[in-house]
Amino acid sequence: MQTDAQIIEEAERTPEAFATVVRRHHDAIWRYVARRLGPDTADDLTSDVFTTAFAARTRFDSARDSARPWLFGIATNLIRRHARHEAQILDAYARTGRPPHVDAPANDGAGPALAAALAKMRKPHRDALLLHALADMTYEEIAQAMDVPIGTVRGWIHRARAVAARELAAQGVLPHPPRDADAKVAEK
Amino acid sequence: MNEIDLFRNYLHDVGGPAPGRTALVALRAVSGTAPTTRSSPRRRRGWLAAATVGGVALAVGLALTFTNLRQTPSATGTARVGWGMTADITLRPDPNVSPQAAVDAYMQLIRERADREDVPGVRVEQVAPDRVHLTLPSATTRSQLASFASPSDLRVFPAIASARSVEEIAAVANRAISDGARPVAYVIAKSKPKDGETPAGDFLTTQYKTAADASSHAKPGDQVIPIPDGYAFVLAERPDGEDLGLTLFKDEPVIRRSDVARIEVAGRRLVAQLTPSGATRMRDYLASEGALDDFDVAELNMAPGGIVPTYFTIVKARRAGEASISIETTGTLDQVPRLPGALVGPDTWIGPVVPAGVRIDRASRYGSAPEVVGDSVAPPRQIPEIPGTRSTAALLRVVHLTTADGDSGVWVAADGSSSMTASTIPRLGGHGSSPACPALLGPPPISLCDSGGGPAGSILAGRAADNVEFVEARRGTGEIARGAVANGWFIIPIVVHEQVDPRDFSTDRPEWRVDEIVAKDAQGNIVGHFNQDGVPITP
Repeated sequence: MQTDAQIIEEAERTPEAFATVVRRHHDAIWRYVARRLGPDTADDLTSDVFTTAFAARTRFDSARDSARPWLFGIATNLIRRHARHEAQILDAYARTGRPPHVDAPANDGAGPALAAALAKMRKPHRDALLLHALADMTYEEIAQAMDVPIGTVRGWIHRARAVAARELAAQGVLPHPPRDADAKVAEK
Repeated sequence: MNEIDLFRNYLHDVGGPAPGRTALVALRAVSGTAPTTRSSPRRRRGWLAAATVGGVALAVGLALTFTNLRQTPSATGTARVGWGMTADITLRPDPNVSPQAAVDAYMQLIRERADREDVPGVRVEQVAPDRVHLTLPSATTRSQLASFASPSDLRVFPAIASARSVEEIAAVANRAISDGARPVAYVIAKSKPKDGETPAGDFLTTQYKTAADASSHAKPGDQVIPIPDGYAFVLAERPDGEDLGLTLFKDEPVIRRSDVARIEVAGRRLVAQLTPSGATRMRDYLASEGALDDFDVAELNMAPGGIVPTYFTIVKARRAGEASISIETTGTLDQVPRLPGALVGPDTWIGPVVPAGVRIDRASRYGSAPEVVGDSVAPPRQIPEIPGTRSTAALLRVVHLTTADGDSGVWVAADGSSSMTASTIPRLGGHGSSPACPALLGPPPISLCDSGGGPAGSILAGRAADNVEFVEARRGTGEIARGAVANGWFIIPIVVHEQVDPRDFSTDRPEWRVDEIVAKDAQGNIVGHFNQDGVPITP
């Protein structure tokens, strides 16, 4: 099977070849975006991810076989343009307990607490945490996607987890985190 | 459970993208539509208005595409196996046919074909205005894929002249060229009949752009003649068995694929119902040319990709705005798809008429087909080399049978890549190989791949489904020939206890004829009836 890099290289000569990259990664990116911004926004934003990627295909690093980190990086950048929208979603979910994007009754489970935690995180930390948790990306892939050193990713996710742990403990979803986690959060 | 685990479940009920969404996104990306930067209902309503003129056309196309793709990108349910082939396919619509109309018809054809052949898991997805991506579970060879993916079609070309010799054709062509037509060149070679074949006198014609190019490819004995550009040759045989003839026709069809609404076949007769516009065009042609007669050429593009040139026998216009044409063919139409390598069922090529040419750009395998299981028994020396297999040492005997007439068996390429078969029985003096014998796509319990013969008999061999335990053939003499089944293969030797002239292989002598092949399960229940060509028979 051709790697993404080979297909993207081919797409420089035969643009239609890029459709294979779309087929491979579209659904994963759509679900990631939809869980953050909702299905309606996911339709357009996912489309923009691939349109942007196609326009920038000559800049893809062919040393990397998979385009997955690159595409999620583009998605993350585009999601940041919807920061206010996302903040509203998180705030509403945290306050009302009514899940956004899905037709379901309000719940008092972990969802609202998670939304509250996400709302309190710094944006890069939130991006890194959600790429790891929602998109199943490794730290190395996240580093590629966000174009930062892998050590930075480790730090961001560690801090995001600490914020989450504290928020979840405060709402009784998880036990109270150990003291050192609190201390590290305080350092930032 | 830690906080990461909790986040993994965060809003996981959000669902997935709408069916066909991927194709739309691919289309937008590749066609270079400018990325959107904001998402709101207003933008969604207004983006058509904001587009350029070219963008409007693209947007309309996209809207149509999306509407279509939302319907059914998947033809059937869950695939029975996790391996098969995929293909990228380009459609070239007939004049005045939109790419979307061609794609719609093609997707409909594939859906119907998958349903009729009972091949679950077939997916066809539009990936560009004129391209689709096909996934065909259980397919292992390109010919198998092509037979499934290729629509049958019919075009009718107006004949300029029909003759029994190249010289007569050349004289007609020269007149057109002297009237100013630009010439191309044809190399005309006469094929040599193989041993045991009745001399056929076939002409092989190949077109080249220039006379010099043609001459450089011509071999001693070949002829090179100039032909007007836009004309072509066809070798045609009358269905009544009269001599072969050469026909020169204009390469601009009177009846295009898009003019055919429906095709029905029965034996050697084909009836094509024309669309109203097709009927009008045919009448216009008749008004200007006077006739659509025996010398016009119908090109039938059969599912396996072959071309069967033939002549009209009847042309009927039933009433204004409607017409049908009836064609007598040189082969039995409902058996054609059962040619080796096209094992997808007897009706494969019948279905919605796709008003476009279909080209398979790329085909590749996915998953792993089951390994070949058999014995490492060297085949008899009489077995000729199997195409695609480096040596007979790479062959496995997958099924064998010992009878009073000797041993017979089927050998298959061990790597499974080519699935070639060979079979032998000593009394028959050796036996040939079949070009390919892929696994079955659908549920027919057996597929016949090898039905050739030697001077004292023939071998019926091919694939057998898991539920087949016994096979037997009812011969024209009334005798029952019992075969063997093993490892997903079967073999039935048909031994003729007298010497018969090899040229009579194809005759209907009862000694050679097989009236029925029967497949049975372990309890002896009949699970399938087939004729000697492997075509299922309804008991």
